[in-house]
Amino acid sequence: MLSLENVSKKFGETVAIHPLSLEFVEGSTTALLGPSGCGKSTLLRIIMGLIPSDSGSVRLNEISLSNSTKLEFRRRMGYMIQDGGLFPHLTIRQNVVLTANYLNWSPKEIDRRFAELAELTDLPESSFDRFPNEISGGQRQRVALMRALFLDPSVILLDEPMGALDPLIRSDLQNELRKIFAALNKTVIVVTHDIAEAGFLASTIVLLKQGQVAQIGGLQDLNSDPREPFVRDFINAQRSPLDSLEAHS
Amino acid sequence: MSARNGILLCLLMIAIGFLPSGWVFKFKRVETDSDYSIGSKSYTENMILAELVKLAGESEGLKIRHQSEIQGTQIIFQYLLNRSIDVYPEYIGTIRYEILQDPNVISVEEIRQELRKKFNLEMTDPIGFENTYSIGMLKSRAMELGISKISDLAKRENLRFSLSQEFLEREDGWTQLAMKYGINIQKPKGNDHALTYRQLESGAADVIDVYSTDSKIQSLNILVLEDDLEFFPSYDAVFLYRAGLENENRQFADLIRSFENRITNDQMIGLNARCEIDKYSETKVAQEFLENEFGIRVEIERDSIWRNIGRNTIDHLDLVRMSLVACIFVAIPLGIIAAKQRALGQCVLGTIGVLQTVPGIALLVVLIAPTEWCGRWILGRPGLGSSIVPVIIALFIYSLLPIVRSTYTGLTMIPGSLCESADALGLSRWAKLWRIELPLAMPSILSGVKTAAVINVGFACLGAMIGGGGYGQPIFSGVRLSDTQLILQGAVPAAVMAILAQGAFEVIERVVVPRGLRN
Repeated sequence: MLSLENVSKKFGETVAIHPLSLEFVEGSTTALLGPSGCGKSTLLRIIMGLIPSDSGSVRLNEISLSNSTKLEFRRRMGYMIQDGGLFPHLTIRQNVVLTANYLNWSPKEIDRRFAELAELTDLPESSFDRFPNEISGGQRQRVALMRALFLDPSVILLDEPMGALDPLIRSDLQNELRKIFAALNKTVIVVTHDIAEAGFLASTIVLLKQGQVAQIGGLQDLNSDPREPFVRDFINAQRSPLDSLEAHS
Repeated sequence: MSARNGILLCLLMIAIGFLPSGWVFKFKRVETDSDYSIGSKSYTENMILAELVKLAGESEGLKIRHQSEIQGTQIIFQYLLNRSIDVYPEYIGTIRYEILQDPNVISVEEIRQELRKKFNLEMTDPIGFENTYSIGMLKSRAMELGISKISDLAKRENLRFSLSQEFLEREDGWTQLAMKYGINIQKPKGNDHALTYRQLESGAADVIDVYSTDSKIQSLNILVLEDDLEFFPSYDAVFLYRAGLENENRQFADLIRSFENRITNDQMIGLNARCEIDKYSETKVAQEFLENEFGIRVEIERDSIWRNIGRNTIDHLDLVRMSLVACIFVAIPLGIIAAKQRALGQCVLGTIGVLQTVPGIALLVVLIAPTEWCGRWILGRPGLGSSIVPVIIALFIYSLLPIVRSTYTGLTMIPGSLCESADALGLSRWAKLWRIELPLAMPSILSGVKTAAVINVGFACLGAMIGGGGYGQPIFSGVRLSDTQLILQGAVPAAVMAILAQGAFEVIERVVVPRGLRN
């Protein structure tokens, strides 16, 4: 189980995260939701050990995150960012197998795992030897997901995974991600500012406001039982296409 | 790139950089198999004298190397002291003012005693002719202005002077002359001696310094102004050589002394003219003279143009490849350090930037003494300071900036999201550097190396100034002899080599930089 205890972070004088504690249930999908600057990406980076927290601790099962456990920690988590973060000098295949290669996996094992993930993410074989700039944005995200999953991590972290995609591809990928998460039964944390996406992918939503937790619960709870006006405002701010239609009638 | 490929690449680079060219090409550096070495400064007369000794020595079966085109008294004298040359032609006035720096030592015997005492050197009796500094003008121009004596210069304003660098800087040179004659003009800028004649001829200068045996005095119809206040001292030519030579090889020492009182002023002007006007090589002129005056017949190896270009190409390539490969191994790590430790990085970049501004010949001269010191006391190899090593170090220093800076830029320009992705994958710092950062910075690093290579091809011409060979050799000789063909023999291949270097790196770029990083 992944848990945070009293984690806080300041950048200079600005408080990015007020001390907060969270637990992520194994096998569940949690969305970190909130407006820009609410600290959701910072929180994800703290969990990955990419930036140190000022106080508190991050624990994954028996290991506590520290400088010496940092690498071990990261290898047990898969991380995927907005534009995929694929390395332009490596082919799709090289991108995906990079860490396994570095950790001296056997070629046979690497091939097996690669084939398995290519099937899972529906990545066409023709793209394996292409470079990231030669495939589409949606495919790049599939590759990034393959890379994040390669070492079979127990936790998967996604930072705005669909931020740069157009609506159709976005919706396709959302469907697939949901399917994949359900199939893999892993602890997943998705950072997003899109409430529909959060509700669609995650069973639990952590709504953040200026570095503090505003409310935790399912989309239904947030909608029917908002704890503060901010929660209602945030939910109502998302227009549905039909609302827009009404505005013109 | 895997670690194994990385090691192979490094080995390949070391091979390209440091394998002796003799293993690959049939030419080799002469320095490796000669008994004695004779030096000469970069003007015709000095070279002819050196060739005379070389050929005479060869007629007696000695193997002698001639290190020519050495720039200036201080460098060639240092070479003699650190034994990378054994003998060279010098003038009594220069010894008195430049080397002993004591105008009170007058007689040949006094000078000889001083040289023995201070430097353990021997000096022959005068060879016979005198080559004093003098001041010259085109006869037509001098008549027009009514000038015949140096003191006339003080009465005229707006005369344009073009003086050789050495004359401007010597103790007994321009400053003292101007003071004695009361010539009141701003100190002119220094030129190459050969260039001053061109300026005089073209009318760009009115007054230049000349050597009294210069062939151009006849050919350009120059009036040597009368030294009416007797400023210029005697400049009898002699040979300077190591005292040890007397014991090591009596025969060679006798041979050097056999030139005492054998060449008159007119003969020397004639020899200079054979080279500078009739365009015979110094070797050929020396050979004729030995045969006519001494009855010594020597066969000379006639080097064709192509053979010369070939030899110079090897020498030039040696300078470029050794300095460039050594620099790559130092500059890329420096660039990495600069990118990782920003504060230290600014210091590194600043220091290297300052080094870049040091003029080439100054850097070379400064490097000779420490290189010799290291060679002598650390490596046990005296003579290192006058080998090609200082040139290679200078080229190395000039290559630092482009490579360090391009490595630094390449690494610092990597988008933050990619660095974060590399970290998030759990790569160690080394793995991240080796597998992600350096490959991403590769196009930038390569362009820096390419720039350094092209700059190096140009700068390596400087090597000839201190006897390092290469394309600079024909260029400097060509300027000295006003021989355009000779200049082109150096300049054209140098340009071709620069273009080829550029092309080679573009090919390497195609191979090394993955498709995903192009465009």
